[in-house]
Amino acid sequence: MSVPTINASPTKEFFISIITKDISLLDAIKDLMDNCVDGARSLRGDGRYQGLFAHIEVKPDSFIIVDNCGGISVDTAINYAFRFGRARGAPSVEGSIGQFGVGMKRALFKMGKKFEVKSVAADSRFVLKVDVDEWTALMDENGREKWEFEFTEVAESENNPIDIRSTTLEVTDLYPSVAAEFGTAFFVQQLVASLQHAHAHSLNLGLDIKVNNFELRHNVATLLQSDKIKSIKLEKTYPQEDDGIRSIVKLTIYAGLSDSNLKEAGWYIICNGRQVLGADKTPLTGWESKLEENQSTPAAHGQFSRFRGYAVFESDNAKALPWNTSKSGVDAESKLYQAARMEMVNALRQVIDFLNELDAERDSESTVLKECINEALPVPLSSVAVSARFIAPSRAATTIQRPTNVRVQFTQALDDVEFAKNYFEVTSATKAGEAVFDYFLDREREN
Amino acid sequence: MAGSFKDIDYRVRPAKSIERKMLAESFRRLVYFQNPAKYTYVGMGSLYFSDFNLFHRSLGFETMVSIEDCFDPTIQDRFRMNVPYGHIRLEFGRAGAVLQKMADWKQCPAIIWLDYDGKLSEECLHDLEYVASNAASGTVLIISVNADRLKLIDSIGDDGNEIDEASLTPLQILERNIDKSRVPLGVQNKELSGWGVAAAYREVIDAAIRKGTTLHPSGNFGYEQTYNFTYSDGARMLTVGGVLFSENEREHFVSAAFDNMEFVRRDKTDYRIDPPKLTYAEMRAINLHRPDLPIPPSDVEKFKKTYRYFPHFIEAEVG
Repeated sequence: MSVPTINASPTKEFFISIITKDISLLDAIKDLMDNCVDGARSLRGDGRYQGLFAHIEVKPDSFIIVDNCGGISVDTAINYAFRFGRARGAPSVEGSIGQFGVGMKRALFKMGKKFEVKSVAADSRFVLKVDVDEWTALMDENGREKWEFEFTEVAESENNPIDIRSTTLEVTDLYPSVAAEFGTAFFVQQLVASLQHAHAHSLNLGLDIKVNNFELRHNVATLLQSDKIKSIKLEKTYPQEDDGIRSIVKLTIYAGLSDSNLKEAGWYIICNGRQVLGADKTPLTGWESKLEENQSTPAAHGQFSRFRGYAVFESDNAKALPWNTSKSGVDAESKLYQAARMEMVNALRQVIDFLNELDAERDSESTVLKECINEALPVPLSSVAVSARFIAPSRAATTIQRPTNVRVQFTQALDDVEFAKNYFEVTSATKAGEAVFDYFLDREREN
Repeated sequence: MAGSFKDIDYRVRPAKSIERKMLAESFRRLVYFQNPAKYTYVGMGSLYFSDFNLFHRSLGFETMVSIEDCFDPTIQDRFRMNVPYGHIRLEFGRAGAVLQKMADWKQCPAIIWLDYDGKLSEECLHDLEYVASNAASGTVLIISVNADRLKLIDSIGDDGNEIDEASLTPLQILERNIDKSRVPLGVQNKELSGWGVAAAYREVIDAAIRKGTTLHPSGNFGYEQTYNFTYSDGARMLTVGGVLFSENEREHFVSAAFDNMEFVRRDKTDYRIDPPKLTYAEMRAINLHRPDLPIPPSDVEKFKKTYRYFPHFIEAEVG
C-alpha cells in the first residue's frame, strides 16, 4: 500500500506575496538600478562610464527602465536571472551589487501584472513577456504548478556589438497603489534623491542616470592636489571566505582635502558602486571627540571641514562586502570593516594633523599653509596617485620664510586724522597713518 | 607621551636599561625567521636614542625609524640634532599615522617597539591592532606603558566640563580611558591598584593584539607573547610583547626557543626587573663570588639575576 504524500510545494501566489511583502517600492526600483550599475561595472572594469546610461520612466500606467550596460545573456536568463534565489555555482558578476538573486523578479512582481524583459547581450538576445495572472494559473501535465517562464523570442550564438547591447524592463497593468504613487511628484522626487545618494559614485564615474527625463547630477568627488599637497590613496585586498565561497574584496581608500564645507566633510563609504554612508563624522568612521581637542564649539569642528575620505569596497561577491542587508549602511561588526576602519582612522589622523597645523598657523603671521591650499586644484579621485603618505607642507618651512612686513590698523578721531592729512599733504587716511609712522621713525630711530 | 624626554633622562633608568639589553639578547633568536640585521626597527627614540644605539651596535639593524609625536619645527630640529646614526629615519606624527605611511614593516619582518611611556589609551590599543593586522610574519611587537595608579587621560567630560576624578573608581577611570568593551570581564576595583593595574593592562593589550591578528588579510596569523616585564623606575612600568607570525611559520617560532631565556614570559606572570642599589665595589665582590659579604642577601640574589645586563653609569665630561 503506498503511503499518501503531502503536496508541500508552494503556490506561486504565496511565493509572490512573500517576496514582495518586505520591500518598499522605492527599494525595489533601487534594486533594478543596482543591476544596471553591475552591468556598467562588468562592461567597463576601468570605471569610466561615459556613454553608458540607465533611464527610468515612472508613470501612473507603466514603469520602464532601460540601460545600455551590456544586456542579460540567454544563458544567464535561463540559469540565473529568472530563477528564484541564487543558484549554487552560478557565475558571479564582476563587482555585483544586485547578484540578480531576487531583486529583479521581486521588483517586477511588486509593481504590476504584466511585464516584459527585452535584452540584447554579447552572444544572444531575447524577449520575455509575462502576464502574471496567466503565469500563476499555469499547470503541468500532472496538474502541478508550472514554475517556468517561456521566452517570447530568443536568439543565440550571435555576436552583437557593444553599442546595441541593452536591457529594457517594462511593467504595465500596475497595481492601483503603485499607480497612485507613480502619479505623485513626491515619489519621483524621493526616487531621484535616493538614487542620487546611492549612486553618487557611479554618477561621478560618468554613468548617465535619468528619471522621467530628469538627469541626475552629483558633484564630482574631488580632492585638492598640487606639487606640495598630495592625497592618500591606499589599495588593499582582503581574501574572504564564507560558506566555502572564496572571494576577494578590494579596498581603495582616498583621503585628503577639499573645500571647506562642514556638511560635506567626513567619510564616504561605497560598496560596489553604491554609496552606503555619506559625509560621516561619527565614531563609526573613526571620528572621536579626542580629535576635537576638547572643544565642542562649531569653530573647533570647522577646522576639519576640509577633510574628505572615501572608502571604496569592490568584490565579485556582493555578500563579502561590509554592508547591511538593505545596502543602506555599514556592517560595523564585519571583520573586513574593522580592518578597513583602522586604515581610515590612521588616514584621518594624517590629514587632521595637517589641519591642526593649518589651524595653528592662523595664530601666527605666516600664511604658507593656507596659500598652499589656495594654490592646489581639485582633481577627481581617478587622478589621485597611490600614496600611503599624505603629503603637505609643514610649518617647518614657514619659519624660514618668516614675513618681513606686518599690517598695522588703528582707529583715531576724525579731526585728528584730518589734521595729519593736512600736515603731510596727503589725501587718504592710510597715507596719513604711514606718514605719521615714518615721521616717528625718522626722529626716534638712530639708524 | 609627548615631551616626556624633558622629565626623564632615559639613559640612567637602570631597569629600563636592563630591559633593553634583555630584549636585544632575545632578538638574536629571530634568526629562525630571518637574519636579525635585516629586521626593520621601529621605535620611539626620544632625544636619547638609547634603544637605537644599543640595537644597532649589538644587532646591526640597518633600517631604523624613530617615531616622534611632535609638530613644533624647533623641537623637531632638536630631535634631528640628536640622531646618533645617519641611517636612522625620523618620522613625526602620531604612531598610527606614521605606521600607515611606512611600507617597510608591512613587507618584511620588523621589531616595533611602541614605547609610549604614557598611560594606556584607546589610541595605543588601536595602534597595536593596526600592527598585528598588517605585520609581516616574524614581526616582534612590543608596547611599553606607564602602569601607575589609574588616572584619567582626558579629564573633560562629554558636556565640556571637567570631571571630578576623585569621585571615580579605578574601574570607572579605566572604562573612560579605553573602550568599555575592552575591560577584562570581572575585573574589580580592588584589583586595579598597585601592580594590579599592570596585570589588567596586560590582559587588555593581549586581547587587542589577538584581535588584530584575526583581521590580518592572510587569515592565518598567530601571536605568542614572549615579554611581560614590569619594573619601577620612579613610576610603575609595563612592557608586553611577542612575536607575530603566519601559522605556516610556527615552527620558526618553536625553533627560536624563547622559553629558554630566563626573562621570557609567555603568560600573565610578569618578570619583575628589580635592580638592587649597589656600589661598584659591591658588584665586583659579588661577581668574584666572595663569601660572607655585608650586603643584604636579597640584593645579592637580585644582582645575580641581572648582572649580565646591569648598567654601569659613570659621570664624565665629554667634549
